[in-house]
Amino acid sequence: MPTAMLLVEDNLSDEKLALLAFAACGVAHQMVVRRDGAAALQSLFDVGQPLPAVVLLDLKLPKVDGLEVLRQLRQAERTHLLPVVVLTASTLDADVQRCLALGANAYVRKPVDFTEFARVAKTLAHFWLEVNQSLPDAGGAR
Amino acid sequence: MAASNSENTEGAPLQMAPATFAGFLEAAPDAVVIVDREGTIVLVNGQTERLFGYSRADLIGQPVETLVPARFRSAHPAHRLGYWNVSSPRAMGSGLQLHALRRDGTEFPVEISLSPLETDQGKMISSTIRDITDRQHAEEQVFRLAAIVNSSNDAIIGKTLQGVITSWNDGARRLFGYRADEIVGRSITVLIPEERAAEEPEILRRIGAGEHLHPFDTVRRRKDGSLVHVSVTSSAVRDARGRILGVSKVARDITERKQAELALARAKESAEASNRELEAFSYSVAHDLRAPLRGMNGFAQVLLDTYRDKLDANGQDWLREILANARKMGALIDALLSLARLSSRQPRHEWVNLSAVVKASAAQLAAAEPERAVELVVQEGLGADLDPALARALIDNLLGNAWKFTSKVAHARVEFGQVDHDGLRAFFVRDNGAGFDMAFAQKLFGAFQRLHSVDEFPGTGIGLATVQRVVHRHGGRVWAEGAVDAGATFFFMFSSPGVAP
Repeated sequence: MPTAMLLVEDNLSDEKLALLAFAACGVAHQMVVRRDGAAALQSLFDVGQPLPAVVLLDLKLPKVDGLEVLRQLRQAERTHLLPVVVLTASTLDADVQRCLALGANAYVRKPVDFTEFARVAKTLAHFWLEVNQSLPDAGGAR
Repeated sequence: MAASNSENTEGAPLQMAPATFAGFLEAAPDAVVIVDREGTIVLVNGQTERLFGYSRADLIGQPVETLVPARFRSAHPAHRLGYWNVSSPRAMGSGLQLHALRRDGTEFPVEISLSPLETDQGKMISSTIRDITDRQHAEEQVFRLAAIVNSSNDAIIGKTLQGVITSWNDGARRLFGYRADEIVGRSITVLIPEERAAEEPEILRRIGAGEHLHPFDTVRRRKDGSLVHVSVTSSAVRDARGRILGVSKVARDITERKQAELALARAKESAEASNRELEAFSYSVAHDLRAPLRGMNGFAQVLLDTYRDKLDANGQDWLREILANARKMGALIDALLSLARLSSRQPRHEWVNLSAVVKASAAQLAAAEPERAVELVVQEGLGADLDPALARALIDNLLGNAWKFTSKVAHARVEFGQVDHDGLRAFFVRDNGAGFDMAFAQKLFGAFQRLHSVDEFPGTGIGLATVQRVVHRHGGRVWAEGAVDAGATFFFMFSSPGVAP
């Protein structure tokens, strides 16, 4: 079974573009999508399901927003080491600071230009699905 | 001369040795004229010569009426004889305005005291004449000042160093509601609200210590208990020898000024609030605009990449037009976002070495365009109290601007320095580039205002708006001078001095 990524995104256009961008990244993976924060938490806290290799988390989300999702993930034993990349449109310094303080592994601004987005997707997939997976204890931590 | 011939003069009060008497006479501060029963002048002193302009020889033997103005002359002998019969020291013509006549015909106000004088040549009258021109001037001055004080709109109050009110003008009555007879003699503290009770002892102490006090704004209490905003000037009242006798206090009603200040502060506050709202709004608009733009750009790109074979040259070209426009819009939105982000920062204040920032910024620009040779001239050691991040944005934008507009000149030159402007120090960034028409100088700093086409000089039109925003956030001002094809100079200044501490 290919490595999974969880995309938490409520904007359908952004979701499709993300799927297209990651589809072209050259790293085999399975993309799971959740469209609000509550659904994302539910699937991540479900002990019957394996954790994804990385969570791509938008900040502006229905029901439970991205910051709250991040906070809950970092508090739970099961997910406190789960890699979370905040993938958002916000450019506010305050948002960056808050995300990093809450324990986000990276903060990536969604670029307008699709070619650039595809490049970002490739870098992210390469690092989180290949480089990071090769760490000896990575699997055990999850 | 009568007195100088006298001998054996012991006994009567003013009989003394002639030499001693003459000495006294000369030492007297006033003119002394001694006449006999007929009113003939028998002796005068030096002061008389100086005061009346006659020599001694001119006066001796003349009737004393020589020194009396013509209009009083005919009545004078009768008065003189009247005094002869009374013969006790007294002031002459008490309560009357007396005048004397100089040799040159001019009159002057005098005060005269008369006393009988026993000599060996018989009884004489000594008159001491004092010129009171100066004193009269001073008195007139006092009356005039009193009139001014009374007609003043300001409250003018005299008080002792212990704070007891000694004078109270009409302005004080109007301002505070007390009549002079109600308040003179009472303590000034009746005017002072409890919470400001400490002010008065401090004022009295400092004035007592000889300090000069500047006017200050405060609050005082009226007779009816209401409060009034006043500007108070307190100063020492001194006697001729400079000793402090008391304190004069001028209080001016500044209620209207205070209200205007308050209204201004409120207007400023509400302008700032709506400014902040506008900035928050523009941030969220810009942020929300990016999402659909990402979609448009993204799908156009995917379409072009995936279906290139199925589109002819026109179809591909139009898709590229869509992409180019979306990118342009993206750049504008990003610029707007960074401008709004700038505004949302709470500026810190620390000493920023602007000369160093200029050099760092220029190095980055030079690295980005290694093929260009731009001469950079930086005046060393210039700086100001600024937010470091905002200062960097300010310099980056000004230098970037200078770099861009010198791209078409042969020997590009960019200079950073400081000049004197209305007594304050203004920084400047000067270039020898494309310049601009001064008619458009006001438009330079508006967001999205461009004086050149994007083809000539690319850019989002937000750089100088950013510059202006940074300068304004530090309470400074920015302006530009230039001419087409003759370069541009951007000046900016802050209220604090721009020299290294």
